[in-house]
Amino acid sequence: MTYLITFSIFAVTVLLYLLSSNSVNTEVFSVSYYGLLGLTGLLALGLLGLVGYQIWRLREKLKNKVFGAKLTLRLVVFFTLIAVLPGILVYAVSVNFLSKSIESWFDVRVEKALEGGLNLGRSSLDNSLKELSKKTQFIALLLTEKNPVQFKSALAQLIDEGAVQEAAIFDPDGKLLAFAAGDNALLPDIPGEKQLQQVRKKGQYAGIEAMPNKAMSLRVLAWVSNNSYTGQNYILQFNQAVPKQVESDAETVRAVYRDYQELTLSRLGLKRLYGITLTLSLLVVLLTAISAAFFISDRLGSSLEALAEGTRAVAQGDFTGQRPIRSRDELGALTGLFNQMTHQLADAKRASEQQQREVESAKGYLESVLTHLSSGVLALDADFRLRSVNTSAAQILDAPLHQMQRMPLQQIAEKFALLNSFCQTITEAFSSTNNGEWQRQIERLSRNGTQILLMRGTRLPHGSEAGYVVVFDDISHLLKAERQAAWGEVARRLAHEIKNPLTPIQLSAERLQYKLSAKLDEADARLLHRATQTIVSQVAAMKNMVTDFADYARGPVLKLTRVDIHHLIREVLGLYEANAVPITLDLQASRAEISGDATRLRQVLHNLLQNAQDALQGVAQPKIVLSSEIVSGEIHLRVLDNGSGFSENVLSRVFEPYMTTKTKGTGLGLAIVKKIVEEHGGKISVNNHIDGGASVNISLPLSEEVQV
Amino acid sequence: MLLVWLFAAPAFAEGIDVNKAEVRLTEEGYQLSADFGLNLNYTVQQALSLGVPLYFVGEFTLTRSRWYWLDEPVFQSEHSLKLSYNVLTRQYRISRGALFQNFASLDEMLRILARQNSTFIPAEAMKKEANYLAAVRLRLDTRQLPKLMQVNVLTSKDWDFDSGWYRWVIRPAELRSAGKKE
Repeated sequence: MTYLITFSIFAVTVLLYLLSSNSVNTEVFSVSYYGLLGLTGLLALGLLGLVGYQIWRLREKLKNKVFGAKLTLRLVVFFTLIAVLPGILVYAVSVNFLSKSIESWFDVRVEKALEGGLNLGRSSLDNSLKELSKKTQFIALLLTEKNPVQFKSALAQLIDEGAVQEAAIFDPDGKLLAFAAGDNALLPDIPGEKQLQQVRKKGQYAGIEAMPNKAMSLRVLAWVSNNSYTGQNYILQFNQAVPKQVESDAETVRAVYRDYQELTLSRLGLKRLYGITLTLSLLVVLLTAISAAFFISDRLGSSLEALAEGTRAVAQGDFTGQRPIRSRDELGALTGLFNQMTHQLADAKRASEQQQREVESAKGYLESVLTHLSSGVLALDADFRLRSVNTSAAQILDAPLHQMQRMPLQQIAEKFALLNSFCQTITEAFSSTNNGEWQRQIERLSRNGTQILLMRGTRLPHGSEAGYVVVFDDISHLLKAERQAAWGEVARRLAHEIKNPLTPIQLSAERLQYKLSAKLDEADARLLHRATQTIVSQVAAMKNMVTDFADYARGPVLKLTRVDIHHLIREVLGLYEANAVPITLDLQASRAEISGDATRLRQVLHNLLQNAQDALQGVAQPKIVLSSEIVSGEIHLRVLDNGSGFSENVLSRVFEPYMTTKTKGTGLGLAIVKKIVEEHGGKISVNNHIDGGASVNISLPLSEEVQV
Repeated sequence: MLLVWLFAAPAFAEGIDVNKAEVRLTEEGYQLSADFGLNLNYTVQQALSLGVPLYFVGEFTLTRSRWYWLDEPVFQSEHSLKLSYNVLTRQYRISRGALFQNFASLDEMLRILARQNSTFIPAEAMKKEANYLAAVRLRLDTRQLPKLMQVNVLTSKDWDFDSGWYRWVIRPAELRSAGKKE
């Protein structure tokens, strides 16, 4: 755009210079003037197009409400007015001045004077001619009386008298007969055929002879008729040069008159020419000025527009944009300041974002620590409303605590009856403590039986974050494990202590039989035999029991292989085919391969089925259902019977050794089952079925690699 | 002497028209000549009567048409005539170089101007069997007008005084046979 403007200004200057200089220079005038006019016209047209385009663009901007467009419009109007008004004024004055000055060249008096001068010249020439012709006529009359022989001397006499400068006599055909001249010329000026003709016809010829490079002269021819001597006709010619002074004056007048007339003739054309040149120049200059005005205004407006755009961007939170500084004036400085501001804003925003990120990551870290803490953590505010809770707390208490934030403990206790004792303990403990810290162990009823919780409470220091923190652990498993370990120890010692005397007892009994049976009569011997048998068999039974104990206390190391549970179940069921109680299979698991010890798992199945069978004694329509299914990557086995089920107090301790409902049995069956299942990484639970009967549920992890 | 001519429209308005154009075969060679119908308009006449000299240019060309290439120029002549009026002596004058002729009236002078002859073309320059294209033109040379008058030329059409090129075909063979008969 800048280049365009510069170019057009340059072109305008050159063209206008050429146009103005052309009015002076004649050589290339007519050739190039049209071309120049055309070029200037083209330039004007081009500029007009440019201005039109600029106007259109400004209109579009105004229509689209581009910021700065109105300012641009005002600036354009101002600039245009500033450029156009003086331009038009100067134009009007110049046109007026031009026509006036051209008109002032022409003056009626001057014209009259010139014409008068011309007429004066003409009449003076005419008078001389008339005088000469009169003289010629007179001489011609004289010559009719003279002898042609005397012609020459007569002429010479005339010359001598100074009557004429050159005299000659011709015959009617134009043949020279006599001649005399003041300047000793050899030949007279011979008249032309036309002139001779006129003399023959009219008797006289008078004319002014004007030859280039020769003085103006007067020539008069007269008819000399009927010479009295010869009776022939002759032609007399008188030549007289016009006086030098008269001629040069007349010539001057003529030249000036011609120049003046030329000027008069070209008056209109000159006016038009200057008018056109002026108008075109004005048009081009004005259009250039307007175009430049558009350009400059546009630049100013665009700076503002850029700033407005930047402000809008900042308002929308974008601090990245840096506006280019286009000028060194205040607008440029403003843009610079704006850039500085956005830069600082961007820095501030970045810093605050950094801070926020740090805070968030700290919080996330804390939350992650809390989440991965196995202990449950509850945070309460000063009014015992739940503030936050970690995942473990919700798991241990088995309640959707995450959804109960901001809920008072009282309300939580009302909503979940199972949490009643828990909540009560917290309130009571905090109210009764002095230093704000306490530790308690409580027992509460949960869905999976009794749960023992170890709780510690701390009152947070007063302040904006005042409140309470309760940390608790589920130590039921810990206690259970302790109990089991104790039982194992007891069993092991007992087995050891009991096993030791059993062999001597057995051996002694056998020895008694062996030694005494021969000495006794038949009845006594039989008695002895029976008694000995009893002892031996009971000892054997005792040994088994002790072995069971020992087994329970320290089970042999598992021999893990890949085992198909379904296959195992069918194999075990083969042994129960002849049984009185029908066993229904409902194996729905799509996969059943686990990694385990087949022998021990077989024992699990035996124990469970045996238990179920025992539980069904005396039931009218005994039924056992063995089912399997896959739940979240684990295989669930269930043994269901329709017996009487477990009583409530048995249910919670069913897996402890020596818990039995049966009349005979060690009470170790389910304890061993549990131990084996847990050794396989599985879980076991027992519950009473709604329709009566009990179900034992076992879940075992599937072996991993068969994931095809 | 023989004449081969073509007649143009005899009636004319202001301007220059070609009345008759011909080629002559003389002992010195061929000569192109043309008769123009001249009718000066008021503006031009007035300028002349006020003493402004007018220059007329008569042009003759002869080309041999070639179907395979640009036409071959055979002959070209151009001469300038100066017409003037002496307001002092009331005489019209035609000058051609150093030569001049005076006339008492405008019509007399125009009659001379209307008749234009080219210089002689050597007879050998034209081949017998070929066809030639002759062209003739007479125009007012506005470039030689006084400088101020040239403005008028630019702004008005009155000074556009030009016959345009008038062309006709010449067959030398016909010319010669006709000449022998005569």
